[in-house]
Amino acid sequence: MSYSYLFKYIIIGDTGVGKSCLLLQFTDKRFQPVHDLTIGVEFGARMINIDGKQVKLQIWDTAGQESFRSITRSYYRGAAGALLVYDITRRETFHHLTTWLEDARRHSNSTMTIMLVGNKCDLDSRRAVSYEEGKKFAQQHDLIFLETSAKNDENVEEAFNYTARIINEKIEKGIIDVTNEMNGVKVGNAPTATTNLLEKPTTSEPKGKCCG
Amino acid sequence: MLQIKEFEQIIMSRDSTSLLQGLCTKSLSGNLGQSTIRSIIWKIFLGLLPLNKKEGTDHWNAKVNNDRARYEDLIKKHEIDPRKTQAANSSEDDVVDVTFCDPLSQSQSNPWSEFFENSELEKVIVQDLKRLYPEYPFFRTEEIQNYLKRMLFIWSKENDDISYRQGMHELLSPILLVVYRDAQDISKYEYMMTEEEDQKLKLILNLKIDAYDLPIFKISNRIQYLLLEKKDPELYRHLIKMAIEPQIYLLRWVRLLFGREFHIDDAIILWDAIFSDCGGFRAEKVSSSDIDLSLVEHISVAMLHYIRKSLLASDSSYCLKRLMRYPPVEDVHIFIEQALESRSRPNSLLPSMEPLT
Repeated sequence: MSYSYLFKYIIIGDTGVGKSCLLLQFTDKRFQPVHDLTIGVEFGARMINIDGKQVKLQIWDTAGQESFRSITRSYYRGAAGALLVYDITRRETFHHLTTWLEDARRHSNSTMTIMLVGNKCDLDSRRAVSYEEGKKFAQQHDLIFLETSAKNDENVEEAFNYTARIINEKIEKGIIDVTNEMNGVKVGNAPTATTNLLEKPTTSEPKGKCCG
Repeated sequence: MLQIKEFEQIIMSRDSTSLLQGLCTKSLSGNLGQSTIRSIIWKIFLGLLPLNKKEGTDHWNAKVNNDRARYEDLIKKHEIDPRKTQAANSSEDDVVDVTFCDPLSQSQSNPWSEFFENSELEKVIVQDLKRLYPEYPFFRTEEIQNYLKRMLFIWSKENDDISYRQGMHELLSPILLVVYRDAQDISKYEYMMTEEEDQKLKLILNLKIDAYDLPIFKISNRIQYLLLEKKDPELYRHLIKMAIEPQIYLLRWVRLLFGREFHIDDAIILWDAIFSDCGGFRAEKVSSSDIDLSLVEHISVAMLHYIRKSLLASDSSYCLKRLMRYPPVEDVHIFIEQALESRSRPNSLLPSMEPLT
C-alpha cells in the first residue's frame, strides 16, 4: 500500500510497564494479559491517516531492562517519535522517567517528538502516580502526555496518532527535514500535499485522562 | 523399563570415548526423542558428569554429592537475615551494635544493606518469572517458580559482575523441565530421587553459551553477513537491500537458543544437538572462548534459508515480521541436518528446500 510518509517510532520505558501491550493493541487490536518478555527489540507497523494523508508508522518496541540498553539505544537515532511509558501503579517506573528522558535526548535527534504515556489506567484502585503528577512532569520537560489502558484500548490510538500529528506539523513548518532519513521520516510515493484543503486539520488535543 | 536400560548402558560402559560418541550421534540425529535420561545425557555434554577414561562413571556419585553440598553451601551463604546477625551479636556481648545493625545505616558492611539489595534482586527476578510461559502450567506452579527464583538468585549473587539478565530464566526453564520429566519417570531410581535443584543450578552455572559473555553483534553479523553470503547469496543481498540489521532478530534467536522460535519440546531437540556438538562445555574450566557456537550459527542460516521464499517476496516491514515471528515448523530436525551438512561443506550453497508458501 502506498503512503505519503513513513514515520519511525520507538517505545521506551521500564520493564513491565506495558510497552509491548500498547503496540499489540495498536497494531492487532488485542490485549495479551501476560505478554512475553521483550528480548532486544520487537517490531510493528500500521497505516494511519493524518489530515487525509496515508502515513505508515514503523514502530520499534524495546526491551526495558538495563542489560539491553546498549542495543536499544541505537534505535533512538532515526526515530521521529518516541513513546515514553510508565506504569501508573508502580511509582518507581515514574521515578525512572528522568533517566529515560536523558538517555533519549542524548541519543536521538533534536526534532524527535516525545509522548509521555502513563499506562494501566484501568487499574485505578492501585494507582500510585496521579494524573496531575504525570501532567506536571510532561509540562516541565516539554512532552505531550496521555494516560492509556492497553487492556481496555483507551487512548491507545490517540497516543500514536497524536504523536504523528505533531510530527506532521513539524514537517509542514519545516522543522523536520524530510530529505534526511536520520530524522525518522521517509517520503513515500503517494502525494504528500494535503489532498482535501477544505478539510480542517484535526490538531485538537485528545482528552488526556482515560477511565474518567 | 527403557530408561533403566538406557541408564545401565551408560553406567556399564567402560569405553567412555565411544559412549560419548554414541550419545553425540544420537543427539545430532534427533534420536534422543523421548529419552527419559535426557537430563543425565545433557549433564555429560555440559561437563557436569565428566567421562574420563580411567574411572568411567564410577566417580559420578561423589561428584553429584559434592555438587549438592556446594549448592547447599551457596544457599546458606546468600541467605541473609540481619535479625539473626543481630541476635548472634547481642547474645555474645549483650549489646547491639547499632552502627552495624541499624537498618538505616549507610555503612557497606551493614547486613541490612545487603538484605535490601537481595530483596531488590529477588523482586526483579520474580517480576520476570510471572511472565514465563503463561500457557504452560508446569511453569506456573509456586514450587517451580520458587526453584527458578532461588537458582537465578544464587547464580546472580555468585556472578555479580553479570548478575541477572532478562532471558536467563528462559534458558533455565527448559533445563528444569527436562530434569523434572526424567525425575518423574525414574523416581524408583535412588540416584535421581532427591534435591535435583542443585544439579540444575550447576547446569546453568556452566551454561555460558549465550550472549552475556559473547558479543552478540559479532555473532549476528557473522551469521547474516558472512555465512549467509556463502550459503544463500540471493537472500543475503535481499536482506541488505531491505536494511535488515542482523541483531534485531538474531539477538533473540541466539540469546535464547531458539526457545522463542519453536515449541519448548522442539527447542529441546535443538538443544540436544547444540549441547552434544559443543565439546567446549566439557573442558575442565569452561570459558567463553571454549564455546563453539558454529552449530547455532549454521542452524540460524538454515532457518533463514527455510523461509527464503517469503522473505524474498516481501518488503522490509514484512521481512521483519517474518523474522520476529518465525512460522511453525513440522520437524525442527531438518535444521540440524542442514546445519551439519552445511558446516561440513563450508564453500557450497545450501540446497533448495521445499518451497514455503
